[in-house]
Amino acid sequence: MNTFKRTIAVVALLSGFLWACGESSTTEPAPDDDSKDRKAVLTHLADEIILPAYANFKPKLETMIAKSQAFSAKPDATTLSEFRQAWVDAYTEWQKVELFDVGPANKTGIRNYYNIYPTNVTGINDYMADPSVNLEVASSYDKQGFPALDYLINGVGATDAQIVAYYTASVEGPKRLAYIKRITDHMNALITKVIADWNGSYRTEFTTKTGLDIGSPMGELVNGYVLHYERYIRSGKFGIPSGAMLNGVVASDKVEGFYKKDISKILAQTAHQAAVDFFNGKSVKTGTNGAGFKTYLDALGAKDSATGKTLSETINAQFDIANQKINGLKPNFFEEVKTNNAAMVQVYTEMQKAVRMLKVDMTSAMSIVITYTDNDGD
Amino acid sequence: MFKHLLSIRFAAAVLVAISLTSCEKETTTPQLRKTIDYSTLTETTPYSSLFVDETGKTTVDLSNGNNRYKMFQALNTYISSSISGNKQVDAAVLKNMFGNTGNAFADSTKLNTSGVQLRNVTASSWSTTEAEKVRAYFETYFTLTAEASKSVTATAAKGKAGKLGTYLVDERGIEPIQIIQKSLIGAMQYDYIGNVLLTKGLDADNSTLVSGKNYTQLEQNWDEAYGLLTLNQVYLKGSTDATRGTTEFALGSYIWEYNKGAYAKIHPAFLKGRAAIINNDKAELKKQADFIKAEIEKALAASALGYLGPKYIAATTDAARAHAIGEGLGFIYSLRFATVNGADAAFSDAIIKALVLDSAGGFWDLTPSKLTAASDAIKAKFKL
Repeated sequence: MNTFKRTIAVVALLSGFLWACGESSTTEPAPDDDSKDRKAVLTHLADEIILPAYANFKPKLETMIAKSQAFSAKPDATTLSEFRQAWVDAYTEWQKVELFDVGPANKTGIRNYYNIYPTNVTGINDYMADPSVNLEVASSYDKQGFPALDYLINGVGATDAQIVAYYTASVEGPKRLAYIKRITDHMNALITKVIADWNGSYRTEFTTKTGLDIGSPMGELVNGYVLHYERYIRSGKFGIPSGAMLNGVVASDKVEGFYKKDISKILAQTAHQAAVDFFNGKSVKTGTNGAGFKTYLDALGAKDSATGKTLSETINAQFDIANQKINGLKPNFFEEVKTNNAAMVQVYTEMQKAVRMLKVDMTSAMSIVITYTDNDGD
Repeated sequence: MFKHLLSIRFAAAVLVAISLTSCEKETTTPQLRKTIDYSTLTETTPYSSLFVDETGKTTVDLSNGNNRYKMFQALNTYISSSISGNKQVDAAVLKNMFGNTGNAFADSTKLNTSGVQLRNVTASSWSTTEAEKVRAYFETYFTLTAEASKSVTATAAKGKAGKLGTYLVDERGIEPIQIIQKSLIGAMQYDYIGNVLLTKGLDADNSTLVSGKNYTQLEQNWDEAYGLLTLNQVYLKGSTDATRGTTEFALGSYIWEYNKGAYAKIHPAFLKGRAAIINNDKAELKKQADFIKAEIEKALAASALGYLGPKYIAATTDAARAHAIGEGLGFIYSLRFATVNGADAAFSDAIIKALVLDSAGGFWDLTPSKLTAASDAIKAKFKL
């Protein structure tokens, strides 16, 4: 096997030189047997999961924006509660698309503008006072998106009447409403661009550039997926608030949906299920499993060396355990961290096992290099 | 017999002189050493093991390359440790390390008396005037680093120099240490290896020994290149895509990290090129040199893309973002030396300007569209 590989390498090397003599050297991906499988996987993921999921999310966001406009036009308890419900719906649906950290979403860094929490209340107040600040720069991440809206519609007063009063105040009220408009407009512009880019040239690029090198769609997709599971599900939703990642220093104020309080669980559940479904290639349109990471790993013959089971089985079994642990939690993670934190830590622990399988076993079986961590140590 | 050999050597030299302009023709020059069968070279052949003279004495001398490597390392360690120890950086020390003046290095390293320096090989493929500009760029950055290090105990913010996490940044949020380190990878390591030693350096004499040495100038040129890339006898021995098997620094570690397709072929290429020198096989030598240059350039470009893309986007703190951008900016600066791909100073400078110089806030004003524009320009130039 080794000799065979070496021969291929030598041949590739030689043919590289041959091209170099004749024309300007173009590096074409070496043809290999897996590329057909990858094309099927990428096509299915794009057409059956990613694009339909975006198509499902967009109207939820549009409804939320419409409700925010209705609230701005006439701030009262009714428009507030409708805005709030639409916000919950859109925020939940967002959990099903945040994981597609590839191509347009990665380039625009959309997650950074949609869901960085805890939100920065002081910063939001500064931004309200200065409408000229740039919402694209990194320092603005924690002052916009769903978490900022969480504060703005759930956290600015203890009761709905107080929240409405916050927006009907004579001088400050209009500025506050204007800020809601600014950040919802920004969310809309970003998702519109991401979807447009996918429908433009990116779908073709995604489904035809089937190589595995750094920066290839498959490499970026897998990196984005693993990063999402590791950092934005495991750490963000469980590891950081429970203190599991900070030497036991608990931070109940860092839960997702901190101001609304009772939605943390549904957000986390939805995000985790979306990651599981994506792994299994479950079509958003039909609900049946198709080509995806699972079928690709199976085709590669990836096995769990300890048990001899397929790697995809092992990963799915670990996903199930993590799911069960999440299901055992109460809806309000802020309270869970305070009163039932061991259960929060357990979710983190089980997810950590899945992270190892995804980040080490899955990527090495796929020959994909993790690029988001810094290895040089400087 | 000896005379006979000499006359052959002379005849061959004439032949070479005649055929120098033709690139297709195989040429013969007098061969000093016993021919090495290329098939005896393996992926794990230590660099110094096979290249010996007829008495079995080594013809390899890595000291010049290794000494410059160690100087680069020492310079880097000096700035980095100052910052981590919350100490100010002295620009004069850096200048001395750069030019090997004033006994800047520890006596135990013997670098002070090594007879080599970093400064005179920095951008040395360029005209003296242009090269001096690059050297002055580094010396300016030494001063800027020293200036910024006065704020080493302050916390940085937009418009304010200081530390972000463990990194020192200037008032634009730019990390001068990374600019120096990553720019030297291109301006010193790659330019000297790729554009000097493995380009013009290939025309050096290979028929007579350098006075007092056991190598020809061509042999020494190749060894200097290898010695400036790594201190190890087998570069990246035992490395996999996920784990680096040897300790490498600067260029040597980035080739592994950012050129997964070729890092394992660099050591064999150096071996084969060195054997080709012994065999007087100029065509093979050039092939290996061209391969090494192309793959290093790919690694440099991919490094820049890695920091502007995944590492920046995935970073969750200002410190990590600023660090990624500092590294990226240094690599973009280095790309001006990527001659195989036709990059030049104008190419690098235009990207850097649009990224962080056009806006007063520098790093603090970065947006995804600026980063994408920079990445797209690099991808287009390097066909990545």
